[in-house]
Amino acid sequence: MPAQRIVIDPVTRIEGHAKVSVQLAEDGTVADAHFHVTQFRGFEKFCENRPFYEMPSLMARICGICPVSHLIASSKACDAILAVTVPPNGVRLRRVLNLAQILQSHALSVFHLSSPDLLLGMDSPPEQRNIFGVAQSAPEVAKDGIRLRQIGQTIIEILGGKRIHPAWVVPGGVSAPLTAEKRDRIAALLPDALAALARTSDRFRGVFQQFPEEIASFANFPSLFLGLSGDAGGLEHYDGPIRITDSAGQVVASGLKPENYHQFFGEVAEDDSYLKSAYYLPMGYPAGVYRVGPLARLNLAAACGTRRADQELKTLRAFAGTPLLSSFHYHQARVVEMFYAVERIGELLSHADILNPHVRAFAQPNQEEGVGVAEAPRGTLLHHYKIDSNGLIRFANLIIATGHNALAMNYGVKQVASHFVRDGHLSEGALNRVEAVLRAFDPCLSCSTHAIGQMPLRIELLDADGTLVDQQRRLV
Amino acid sequence: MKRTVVIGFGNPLRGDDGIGWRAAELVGARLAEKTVEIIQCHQLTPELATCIEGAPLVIFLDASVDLGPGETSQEPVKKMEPGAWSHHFLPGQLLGLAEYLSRKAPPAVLIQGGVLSTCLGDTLSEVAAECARKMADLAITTERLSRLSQVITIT
Repeated sequence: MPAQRIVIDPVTRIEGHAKVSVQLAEDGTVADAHFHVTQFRGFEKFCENRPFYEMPSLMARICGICPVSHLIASSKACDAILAVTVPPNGVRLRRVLNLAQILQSHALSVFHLSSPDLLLGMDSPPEQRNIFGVAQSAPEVAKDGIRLRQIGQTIIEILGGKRIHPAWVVPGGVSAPLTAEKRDRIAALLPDALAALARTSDRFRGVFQQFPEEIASFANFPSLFLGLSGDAGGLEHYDGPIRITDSAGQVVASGLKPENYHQFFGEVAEDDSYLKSAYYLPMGYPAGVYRVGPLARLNLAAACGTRRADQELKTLRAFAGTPLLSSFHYHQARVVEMFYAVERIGELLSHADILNPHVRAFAQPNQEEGVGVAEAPRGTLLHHYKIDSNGLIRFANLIIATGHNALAMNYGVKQVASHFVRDGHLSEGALNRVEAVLRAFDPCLSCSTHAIGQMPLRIELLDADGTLVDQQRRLV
Repeated sequence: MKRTVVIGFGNPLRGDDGIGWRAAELVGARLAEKTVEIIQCHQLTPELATCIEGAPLVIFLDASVDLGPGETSQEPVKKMEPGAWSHHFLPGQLLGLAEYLSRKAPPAVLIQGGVLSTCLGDTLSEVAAECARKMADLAITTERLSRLSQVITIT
């Protein structure tokens, strides 16, 4: 059999536009596999010459799913340019907003995008394999997913004025303090969220155990794990130095300052993708592969620091071990983090100073450059800006979570394709698993739309010379 | 008793496409909060299915480029299969999802207003502003008739 290449284009139920190519050897085994991001955004370039204080609002437009993450990382980069210390209550309120974003984004990933695979089965008919199929077969699950996302979005709206692209986070803090009325409205939503999460935990616990083959093959490999580290080994989503651990749980590096990221992050532009792949510089490319996001954050933390989340984490670790090595466990990690987000929001709202009106520091630019970092739902997000003497942007560099995970996703695609592609044949169920390993990472390619369920899909089989030998097309 | 849900949707940064938002705002100004829940949004999303669950009536307010500028139309919304796309729903698809989730879709009407311009801008044309008032009148009349019919049914 001649060597062949299988192309999956587009990859579905992810945030954005991408394709996968699988190169087969002459014996029909998988020789190589790649995840290609096919959309181009250009934000780093076209923000040049804009006033630095516009950056948070501009950068939030990168994405409709995680605008809050960009808003926060961008504002933190501008905080550094102003060289101000954000008032403690401004930090608290930013944290609440960030956690609400994590709640709504994780709910979207777990329920809207991945629950069809988990509840209906990887091999279920593709026309049913979507959130509406879940709504038909398990309406209570779909309802909880929709409700959890709605609660996260509602909190964002209460704080920031809008569910998508709020502008409330500004350089120096937030633009307005919290009122008692808003605090109480947010607090009233939390019991409902915890109840929905408790049902989710009960429902999904057995479901996750039904996928031993996927757990074994979904990017299950030793790698580094990277993320922000909090005090006392707890989960951290907003601030602090960067920590890196290995697959044995040993600390490889800690106390890394985000502003020195050039010393430990390498970035490489691949010929076949608009996504930059990041790697741990001291280990080189591609050996310095690491993972970020909920899985990595749990691997970095000794515990979450809230009661229910820690119970869930304990259960997960009893099932999957420590550290969590299979990227399939990203799904469970998201459930743990949703518990944490709701509980932590409750704690923050209960803080005695949460209504303190001092939430913003004012200054003119005092530095010519600034780096801001935060944990987005999908992982560590870094913004780096340089300005001129007029405060205009001269340079911008963004390293997003999906870029951090790019090498690991490539590894995952190759591993799952090697496991499920047999004799050069990619069945529909195997094709879905190639996509599902990507969905486990929940890559965010800054999309404005995405399809679910039965997707427009094209698979091409090319021989070693690149000649098309077969193709399958499935249209909506 | 559950409230009537009024959903004005469109893009208020595209001129008259914001007519649904304006009409919803006018309805909210004239009807008591205990009577109606007002929702303004850019597009219909799955999350709205839980908002309309159990509502005695849902009123969708939207712009139309098929109607002549300033014209209005009102029609009942028929339930549809949600389909495979989740970023943009038609009113009927939202009802279909609501039925999946709660076994029953609420009754609903779609009131549309013909627009003049959907160019960039955050204000309505005079024609659309007047049309929004007519849409609000229609929505309020519909809501009152609906409540009346419920009272008659109960008694």
